[in-house]
Amino acid sequence: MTAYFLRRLLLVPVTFLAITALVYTILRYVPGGPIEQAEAAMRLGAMAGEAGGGGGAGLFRGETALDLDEEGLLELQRFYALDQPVAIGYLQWLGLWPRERRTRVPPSTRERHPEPFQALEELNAARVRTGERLAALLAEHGLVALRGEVWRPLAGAEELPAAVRDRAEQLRAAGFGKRDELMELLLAHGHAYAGGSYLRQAGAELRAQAPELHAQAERLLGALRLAEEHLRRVREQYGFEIERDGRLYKVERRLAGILQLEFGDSYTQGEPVLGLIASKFEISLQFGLAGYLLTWLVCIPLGIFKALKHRSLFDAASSLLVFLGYALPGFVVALLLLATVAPALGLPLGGYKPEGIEQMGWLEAAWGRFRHMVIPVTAYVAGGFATMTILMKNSLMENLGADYVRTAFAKGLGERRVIFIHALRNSLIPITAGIGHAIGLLFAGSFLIELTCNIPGMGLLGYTAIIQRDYPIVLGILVFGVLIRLFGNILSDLVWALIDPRIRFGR
Amino acid sequence: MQATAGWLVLLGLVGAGYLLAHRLLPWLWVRAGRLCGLRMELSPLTARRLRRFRRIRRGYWSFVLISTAFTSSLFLELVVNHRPLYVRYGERVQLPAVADWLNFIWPWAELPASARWADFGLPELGEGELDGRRLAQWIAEPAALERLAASRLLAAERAADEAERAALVREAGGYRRLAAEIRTGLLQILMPPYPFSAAELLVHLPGSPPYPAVWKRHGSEAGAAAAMSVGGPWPLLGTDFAGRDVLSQLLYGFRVSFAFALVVALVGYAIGISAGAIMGYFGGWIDIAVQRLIEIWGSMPFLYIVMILAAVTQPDFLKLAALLIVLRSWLGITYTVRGEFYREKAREYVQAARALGVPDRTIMRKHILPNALVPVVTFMPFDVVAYIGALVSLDFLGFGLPPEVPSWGRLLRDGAENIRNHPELVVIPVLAFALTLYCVVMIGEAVREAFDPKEYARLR
Repeated sequence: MTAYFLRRLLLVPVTFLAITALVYTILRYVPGGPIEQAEAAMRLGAMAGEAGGGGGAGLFRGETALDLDEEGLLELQRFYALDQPVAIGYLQWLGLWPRERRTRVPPSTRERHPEPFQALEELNAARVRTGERLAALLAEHGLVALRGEVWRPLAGAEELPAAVRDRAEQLRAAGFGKRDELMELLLAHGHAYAGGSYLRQAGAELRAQAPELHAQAERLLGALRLAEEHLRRVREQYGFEIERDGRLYKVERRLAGILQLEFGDSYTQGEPVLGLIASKFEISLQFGLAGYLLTWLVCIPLGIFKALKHRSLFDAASSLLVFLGYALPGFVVALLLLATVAPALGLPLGGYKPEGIEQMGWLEAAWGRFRHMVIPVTAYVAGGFATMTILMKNSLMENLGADYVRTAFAKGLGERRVIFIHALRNSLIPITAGIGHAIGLLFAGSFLIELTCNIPGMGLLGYTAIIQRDYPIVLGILVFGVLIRLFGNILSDLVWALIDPRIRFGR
Repeated sequence: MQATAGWLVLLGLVGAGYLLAHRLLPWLWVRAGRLCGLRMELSPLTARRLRRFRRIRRGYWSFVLISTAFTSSLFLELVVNHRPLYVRYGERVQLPAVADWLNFIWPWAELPASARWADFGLPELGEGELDGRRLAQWIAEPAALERLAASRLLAAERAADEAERAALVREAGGYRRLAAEIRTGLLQILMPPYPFSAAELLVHLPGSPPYPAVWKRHGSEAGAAAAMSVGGPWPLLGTDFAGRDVLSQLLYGFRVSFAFALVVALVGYAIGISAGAIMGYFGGWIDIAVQRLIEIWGSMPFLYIVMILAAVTQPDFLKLAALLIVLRSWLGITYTVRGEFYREKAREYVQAARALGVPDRTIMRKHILPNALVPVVTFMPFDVVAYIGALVSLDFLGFGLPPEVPSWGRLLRDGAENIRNHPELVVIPVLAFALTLYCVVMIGEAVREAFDPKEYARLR
């Protein structure tokens, strides 16, 4: 049997990889991802008359233009860890492929050790200066520089070649998520897109019409390329990077995925995912555990009583309740209680702790918490108690019909002793074996109940993460959920095999 | 007269629903089977099981109730609709509710379902849709029309604008003419027994939504005012915040939820039975591979996937059903059928059939399958409950059916948002929901007991 459980354990990583890869791929391919969300936030911000806005990370550096330039887009993608192809992205997330981690060099460090950064800053100053001169020079002639070349903006999409016009317009309308594709398409036809307008290559035209200007532009472009080249070399050799606005970053290439326990930061809240999950887990556990224990306390006696009074009036009447509990989802029960019982008893309509709990005495605080727990916990119990009660009843009845019970009665043992010592112990086996499955529920929390009762637990965290496309949280919760479920199933079987010597797995 | 005809229609439909579900369909089923060359006779075992099922009263009556209700609900447009069943103006006759129903039965027909005032005696009201409830009231009491005309003329006198005055005078003339035409019997109308629809927004009632239920309306201020100014029908269970009638939403929601659950369960079972049969019958690496697939598939967070996909496209009935089928509904039954096939294939009759050279497909279909169907039948009602629950949860979250489709989940969602002031908007749907699902669970319990009886030996 050890071999059987070892085999099951060995299958866990395989299943885990398959599930996470599947979900990761789905998340990457689904439209409306974080880039689009950031775009929407930007548009909203622009409409509200704010500079930049959205994204939460100060990514846009006060840009008022609604279009991201290429660099901005790349930065956005890098921030959301979406700059790699899906397969590599997945491996990076897993921690099997190195990824670049940029950490801001704090100004204090720069103050203390100015020398190594000075060269970098000078290079950056040169880059910015040259860029500005180039832009000013070209602007006089209605031209722009992009990707080390000179371009002429077009008045509109009509001036694009007919072959790409419709497709380009489609891609442009599709937003930031399709910018890469748009650029690729246009570059293949000697065009480009930047700053909200289409561009046409103007290098040859410039050389023919204004050779002097062309030579000047080429020189500046060359200087720019040189500066970029130097910066790149510094970055590769020493791992430091400087942004145009002078912010310094330390760039490291290392493994940083879930195998290294780096779950990343939440997009929306900016906090580490692990900490968020831990704090929410605490809340969910409170309710889940209370609900689970209460289910046991209600179901076991009820099931026993129903088995002993099989086909009596009590059995029929309690069956009504049990089947009702089976039919209604937990959150519907919660809603019903919120609508009827809460106003009648003055119970709170949501939340998990009373306001100002810090100032209360412990007795008052405990009472407040209890009042908040009544309805959600009842809903949790309603969700699970039907199955458990029926299981208990059937299991006990089966055992009461078994031969060993007959023997026990025959040798003259009392009814109580036979039922509660002999039969009950055996009939608890299938229920005990469900413990492993219950762990998953305890971890995840029922997000429908948490939503209806407004409890900020794990379920609600996952739900809002999905809505806001906060992928690190979604994937983080998935990781724990899947692991706990997979190990929980094995644990269930193991418990079963341990307490019931008749069970033999793997035969 | 109006009301009697309406109730007759209702009774007729429920009767028709019963006959259809319990007489015609079984008969057609047997006939169709015979046409295909099957014997279509119950085996003695199945006959005994069915007899046992009938003896379990709660379950059997729940079954009659639910199946009749569902078949009748297929004709819901004829009973619960704000459009008239029949409206006549001289030579012109239109059957808007019937057109509605035909559109439901055969969506590609796209019949014009609404009657216009312009075609039925009141071109003065423009291109608007004919309001059957008002017209029925006027036909019952033409004097009301004359009062309306008088009030319009009064308003015209006070009107500041020349064009507005002319319009009001013209409208009043229209009402007068209509009253005269009604007295000559030129206009006739027959409304459905419950003249409200799930999609119609009742905003012209006095007061503001949510309108209270009919027994509460005298208590409330808006209701009292409404009762004074508007005779005629009132939404029985009141309306929700948007002014949609609650009762018709419940009824149409019942039809949608049930159809959804049945489709998901049946298609999922078809897939699951095939997959399970292949796994169990052939075993070996097919079995192992599909088992892993199911394990992975089953660990996918279902609601996550639905939410993500719902964010991409507007889900509709078919998309949601397909998703639920592909992601969930075939998994559970696969394991069960696999186990049954594993057990049955070792039996002598299968070996005998093999020895005779019967092809695998025939053995699976004709010999093993009938013996493996018992768990399938007993699980089905419980799965229907689960899928209705899933649809309600999705609608409650706002990731379910499109907004124009009436659904229980959205009703709950609307109620939950205003639970403090209008708890009845939660309680009413939950009660309807509980009653329906309870009946289905009763059916499931009875089926389980009839098909798979456990005789417990009791010593004391």
